[in-house]
Amino acid sequence: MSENSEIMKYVATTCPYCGVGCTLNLVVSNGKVVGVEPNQRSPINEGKLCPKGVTCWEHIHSPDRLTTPLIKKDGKFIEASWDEALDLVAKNLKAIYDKHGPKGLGFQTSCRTVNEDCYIFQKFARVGFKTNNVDNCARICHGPSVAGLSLSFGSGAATNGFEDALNADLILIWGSNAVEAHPLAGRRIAQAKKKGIQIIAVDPRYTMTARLADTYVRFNPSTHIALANSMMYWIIKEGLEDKKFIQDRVNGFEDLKKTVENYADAEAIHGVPLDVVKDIAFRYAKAKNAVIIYCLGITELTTGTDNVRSMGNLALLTGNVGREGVGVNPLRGQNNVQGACDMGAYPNVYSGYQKCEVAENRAKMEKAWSVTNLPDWYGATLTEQINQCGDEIKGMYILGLNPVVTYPSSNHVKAQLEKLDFLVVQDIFFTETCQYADVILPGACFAEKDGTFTSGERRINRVRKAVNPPGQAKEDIHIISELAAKMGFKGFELPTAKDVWDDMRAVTPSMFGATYEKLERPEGICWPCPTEEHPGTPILHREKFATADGKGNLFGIDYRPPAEVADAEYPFTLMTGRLIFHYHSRTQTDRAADLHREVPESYAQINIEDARRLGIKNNEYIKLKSRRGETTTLARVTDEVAPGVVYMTMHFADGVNNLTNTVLDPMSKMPELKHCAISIEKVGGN
Amino acid sequence: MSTFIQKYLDGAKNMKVGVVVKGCDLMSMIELGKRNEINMNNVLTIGVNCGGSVNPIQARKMIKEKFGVDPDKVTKEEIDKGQFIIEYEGGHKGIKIDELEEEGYGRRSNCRRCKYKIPRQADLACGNWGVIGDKAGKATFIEICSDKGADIVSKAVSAKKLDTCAAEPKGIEIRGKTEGAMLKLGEKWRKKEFTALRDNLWDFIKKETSRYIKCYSCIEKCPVCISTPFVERPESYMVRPGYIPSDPMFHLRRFASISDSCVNCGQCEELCPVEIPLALISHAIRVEGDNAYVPKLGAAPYKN
Repeated sequence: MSENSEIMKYVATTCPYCGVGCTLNLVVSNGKVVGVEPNQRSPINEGKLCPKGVTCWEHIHSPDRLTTPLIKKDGKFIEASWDEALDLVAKNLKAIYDKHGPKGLGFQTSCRTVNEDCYIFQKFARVGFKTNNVDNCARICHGPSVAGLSLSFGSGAATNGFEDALNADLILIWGSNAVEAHPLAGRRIAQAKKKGIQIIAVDPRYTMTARLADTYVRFNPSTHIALANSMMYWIIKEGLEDKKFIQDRVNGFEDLKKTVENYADAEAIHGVPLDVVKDIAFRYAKAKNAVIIYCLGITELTTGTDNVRSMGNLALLTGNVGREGVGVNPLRGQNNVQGACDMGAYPNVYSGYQKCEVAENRAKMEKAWSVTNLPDWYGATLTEQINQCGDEIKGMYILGLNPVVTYPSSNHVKAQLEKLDFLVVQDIFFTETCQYADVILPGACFAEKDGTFTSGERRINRVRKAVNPPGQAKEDIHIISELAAKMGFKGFELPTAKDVWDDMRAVTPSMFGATYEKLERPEGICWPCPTEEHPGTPILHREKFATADGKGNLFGIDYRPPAEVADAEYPFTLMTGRLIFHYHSRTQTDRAADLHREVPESYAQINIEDARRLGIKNNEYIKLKSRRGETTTLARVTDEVAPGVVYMTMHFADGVNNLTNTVLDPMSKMPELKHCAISIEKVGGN
Repeated sequence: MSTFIQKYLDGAKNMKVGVVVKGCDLMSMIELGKRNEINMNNVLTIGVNCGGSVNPIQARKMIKEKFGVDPDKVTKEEIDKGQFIIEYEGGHKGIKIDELEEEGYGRRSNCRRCKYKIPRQADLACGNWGVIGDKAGKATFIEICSDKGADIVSKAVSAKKLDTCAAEPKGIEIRGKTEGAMLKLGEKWRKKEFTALRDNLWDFIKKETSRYIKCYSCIEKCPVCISTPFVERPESYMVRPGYIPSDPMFHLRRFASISDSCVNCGQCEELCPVEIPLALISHAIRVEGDNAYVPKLGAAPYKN
């Protein structure tokens, strides 16, 4: 259908859900989005979409959208003009800053919103309040990937693209249910299977993705390091390590070798029989080209960074980095989780991972932003900011996040937000978190703004405006820009997304060449892209690693158990994850009819034997308790999980995050979302 | 195309639409017309001969890998005389379709099996097959297939928007031969692909559909599969919401519902995120059904 039709037009844009970054066409008729149609020219998804992608338009014109600023007066939200609302925000942020200084404020931005919003938001925090207390929700998703892959390879991002898995001879997919969580990356696994590529799935759950594998390996939850070390012991024992690659390109082999000596047989920890460990180790090591694909099963633990480094260890030991068909690829969770980090919405780096602690970097940014005294300290991370509410942190600005549902230990989050003197929430719906706000600012959804998302393969994809925001709602860069103007901050006069992007490019060498003109192509651009002539870099570390000495780093890492393990009082291990039908706290997906109908309420997977022992029937309500809270949910009785293990999805309010643990990975500050101890009881009694 | 008119243009019930169609588009529209989803009285269809289409990303891959040409440099592509031909800055190149398709490149798999190459149930059936001599590349064949078609051509001629002349007998002969060759090729692919399904059909369907993730594109984009409203739909005893892979009846009831109407447009398969060869299965069911049984509601106006 013609793109210039008077009645109707297609607007090609990027899906607002997971980190695959599928292209789709929004169908616009009379100023409204009326549907989604395939965009078959996209090399990412070739027009194919998952259940969330095909319905991603349905929430755009929801009557529940926030359409006007709201100010809380006497416990009630009253509609306000932009002037009133922004004046109030400006006044309070200034008062807190004047009294408590840079560490008195916390800034949190979503990985769901465009790069341009993330960039201007962190600039606002740093320029306006001289604070590095700015973070995004990668912290509770792939923060350990950023930290771990940086240590192993020098760059905290996926080494190779999704489609490149089809160039491999073997795919080792570990802690990732791609078919559900990243369906169009899961498609590449399905294609690989048809092509005859070997697939080994390592997961405590027999997921949709595990079902695709030639070999499914069930292991005990959160024992990744023990299993990887055991595999590496046998690889070295058999002399299957890539000696030339190690000699030429890798540090730390002796350290690794010494550590894995203790893991010849670690079945007692990870639960995988020795012959299976050897089999998968040898197959991985012997494959000409083998790729590791992993996800939050690896990262959302107190050992997250070390788990990621263990994946790096496996790849470096066997020479599987730096060419087609190999690498270590985290499937980034949210549509822009890569980008939000790339933009410097992170407490220790500016855009392009330029460290704040380096004086030259600060000097450069001070010059570019015409400010002085940018902070050198490591700011408070996402959940650290929550912990500091009422103590160091008195005021908070949350853009597009719903911490009350999505952060660990919901009761703790609610209690902490209550302690704030002032909370601004900028969002598109009245989320559970909005109740704790003093001012709510109505922003624009993905279909109402221009910008870019950077997908899990470092591909920068264009987001294109199809319609105007509803009512008085505004594009988010304009909200920040107007607020900055009210506060007298300079350098925020950036009326278009392209202006913000160019502002970012000017200070970011790794993305300088990724101009909007070049991004018009359906292929987008994979960073690094340092010059305007540069085609982008789909595969990292070809000749040398991005580390200071150009070498990859092996690390000897010992297994550590999770912070809280099952015991007599709380005898079950709780794992968490995602459903294909919902996205995060469901503010968008639950407003799509098909998705709501598929899964309207929360359920927990429980093993058949456990259910029989406890007298629990499929689809009956059960109560789950942890040391931090409780939740009631439906039981789904299945053999997808092992006895003693319970799996629950993260999408429901007062759900699994009433139970989860806030304890952090010391290296990446990732809370242990995927492992805690719980008890189960029948709601109806016996 | 057909579901676009159904969904976004209210089935052309309140507007007139002129649309250029391939065989599969037209069959889809005819089926939607039969189901009162499109008002075909309001639609003027201009058919074009079609030897099959190529997915754009697969085409780019083929051009790069098989032709050794940068796809961005290609200015024209066509299928002619059994070859896939590209023109690009600095030259042109053709490779036999058979050779490409044996290696997994080439046309969409439903197109390979297609036997509706010149859509003569359209108001006009046009296209380049049979346009020969000095007119090659400059004119189109027009077969006038309806009064509506005759009317638009005569109006276009009187408005001096169109020059016409009688088709040359040689051109008619070549058009027929081209069509015949394509039909033969379609039959060859049917034999090959359907025979391959014969021995292990149940296992094949079970294995392939086990990846299903309920994106519903195979229903939403299917021109012959119209869902009943969910409101007041009786609870299914066999298909539970929220479960993936879906219960087997999810697929069985869909195959059964479209069994006598699948037009092999291929949209279900084209849009499937988990690579289920849905069109192959439902097309095989329809072809076998059409051959073996008297049509329940009369024969379709097209012959595929």
